[in-house]
Amino acid sequence: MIQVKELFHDYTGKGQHAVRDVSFTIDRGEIFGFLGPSGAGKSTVQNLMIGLLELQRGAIDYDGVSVKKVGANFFNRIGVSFEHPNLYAKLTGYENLKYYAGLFDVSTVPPLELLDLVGLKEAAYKKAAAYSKGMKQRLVFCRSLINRPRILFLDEPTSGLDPVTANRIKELIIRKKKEGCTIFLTTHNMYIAEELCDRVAFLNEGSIVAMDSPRELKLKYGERSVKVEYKNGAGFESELFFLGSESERAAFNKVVTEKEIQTIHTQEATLEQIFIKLTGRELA
Amino acid sequence: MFSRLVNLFKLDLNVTLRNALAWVMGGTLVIMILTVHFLIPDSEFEGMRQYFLDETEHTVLKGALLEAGVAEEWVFNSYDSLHEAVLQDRQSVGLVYRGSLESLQVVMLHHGALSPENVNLLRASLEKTMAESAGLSPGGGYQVEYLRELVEPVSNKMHALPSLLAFEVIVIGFLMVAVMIFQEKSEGTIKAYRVSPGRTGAYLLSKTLVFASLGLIYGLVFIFSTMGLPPNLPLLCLVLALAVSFYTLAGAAVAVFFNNISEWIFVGVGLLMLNMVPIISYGYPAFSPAVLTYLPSYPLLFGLRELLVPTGKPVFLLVWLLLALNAAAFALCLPLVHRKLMKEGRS
Repeated sequence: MIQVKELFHDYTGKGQHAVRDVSFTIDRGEIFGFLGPSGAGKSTVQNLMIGLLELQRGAIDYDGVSVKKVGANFFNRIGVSFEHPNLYAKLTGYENLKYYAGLFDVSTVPPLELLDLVGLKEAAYKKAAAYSKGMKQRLVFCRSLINRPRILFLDEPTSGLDPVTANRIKELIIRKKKEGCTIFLTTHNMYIAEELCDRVAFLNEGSIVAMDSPRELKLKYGERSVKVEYKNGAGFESELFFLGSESERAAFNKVVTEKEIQTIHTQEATLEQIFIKLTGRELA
Repeated sequence: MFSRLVNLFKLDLNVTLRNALAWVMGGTLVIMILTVHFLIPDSEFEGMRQYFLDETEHTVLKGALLEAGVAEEWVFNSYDSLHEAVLQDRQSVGLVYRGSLESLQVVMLHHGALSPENVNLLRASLEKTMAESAGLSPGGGYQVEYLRELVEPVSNKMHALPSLLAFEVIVIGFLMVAVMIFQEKSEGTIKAYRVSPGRTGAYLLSKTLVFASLGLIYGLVFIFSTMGLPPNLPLLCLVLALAVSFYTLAGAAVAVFFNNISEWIFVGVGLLMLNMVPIISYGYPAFSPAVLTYLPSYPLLFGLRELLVPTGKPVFLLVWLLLALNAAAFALCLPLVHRKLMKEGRS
């Protein structure tokens, strides 16, 4: 189990915290989604969790052992897929994996087997510099799996991928979960989070504003939402109202009374809409 | 641990050899070899020149100087002409003899600091000349004893080899480790390394071994193509490898403070130029202030000359010095690399 407790982080040293009082736990075999817009503090939390940043305040424990005390062996058990493909451009895809595998003390997956899983076998001996952005993203994802990790940290794993390849990656993530792998998924893509995550946490300006399973969040915050489309001058506009709130009900009534309504639909709120409702910001 | 280091070594070697800078270094090697073969003359290397002015009573020393084989154009007739000649020739020292043979005074004109070695040599040479001129036997107060066999004069070509080795070949580590670090920073691969079991020590050691090996091969190709088999090949190999390894560690310690070659260039090239200053003492022995001897390149340059053109001076001191420098550089570099490359943000 991973336990993160009262985490704070300040890059400036002037009390301007990029992460403020963040606490959560992740159970073994769980996919935990960390949702938030750019600059919300997602990467800071992930970097603290994988030891790239030194812990200033708070605690991060892996099965009761502090991240401060984990040795080199900790890295034999984790896999990290970075958002920005960080590869040796002058080496082939195969070489990138082969040399990375050589850094581990545990048995690793043969590079070609992994490349085949993500549809890169044909390009195995091409230099990474010649790969498209999506291919690089897949190669970075492959690299995170090379040491058969027990804990996976995935940062925007489907970013820049076409729908078919993105589905392939999603299937692999689900397969890893079934194998018992714990997955920390950082994303601003609500669909991915909704589809894959057992639980999600919304992060805004360094703090967690909500945390639960996607279904519970929808039940809690997404009840009785109505989407109204109305005419506004020469064009159309649409607005979403959560009717559980008195002020939103009043706003809804005002629009219905004053505007030329085109359509009204009741709907289940998406995670993005809930995020906007809670923070006033968009995820992307 | 060992297999990880071997793996890292292969990785670093591959990445280095595929970098365009490797081709530039190869091209530089060819240019250096061609320069030695076709541009540097085979003529004898002239060390520090001594110009004379005899202002003694009856100019009794002038004849003795000419008899001793001093070229006529190096013996001047007036102080102004001597002063002008010394001023024009930075590799010279002017000596003015005054008084009588019984109470001879010598005035020395030179451009800057002289090394204690050169001052002692000049003093001994003057005392000898004065004693002989006064008709005293060489045993009058002192005697000359050669500790080593006299060596043949060195050609300009052979004289150039140590400086090319020290300032073109050995600094390969300083330059290339910086390029590698910047490449890893820009590609982000260093971030991937940080989340693997690979540690800072292995990271640093691998790069040091790669550049020490490449520098050694580079240096040996240069030496074999210019002078053939050196007199003491095993010791030369050891010195080359240790020297490149030291400069690699020094280069890494500097490079970690910068993000790219543009930021690094002023400091990096400035340090390389500072490192090259002892070449002035090497080419112009009349200029060798003590402060220059503190630069690591100073003993290295003269040690390499001793290795390529042996005169019997001990070189083992240089090996010990390089070992100590490597140990110190590694101890300094390890925490710097760990702090600046292996961690992010303010800790």
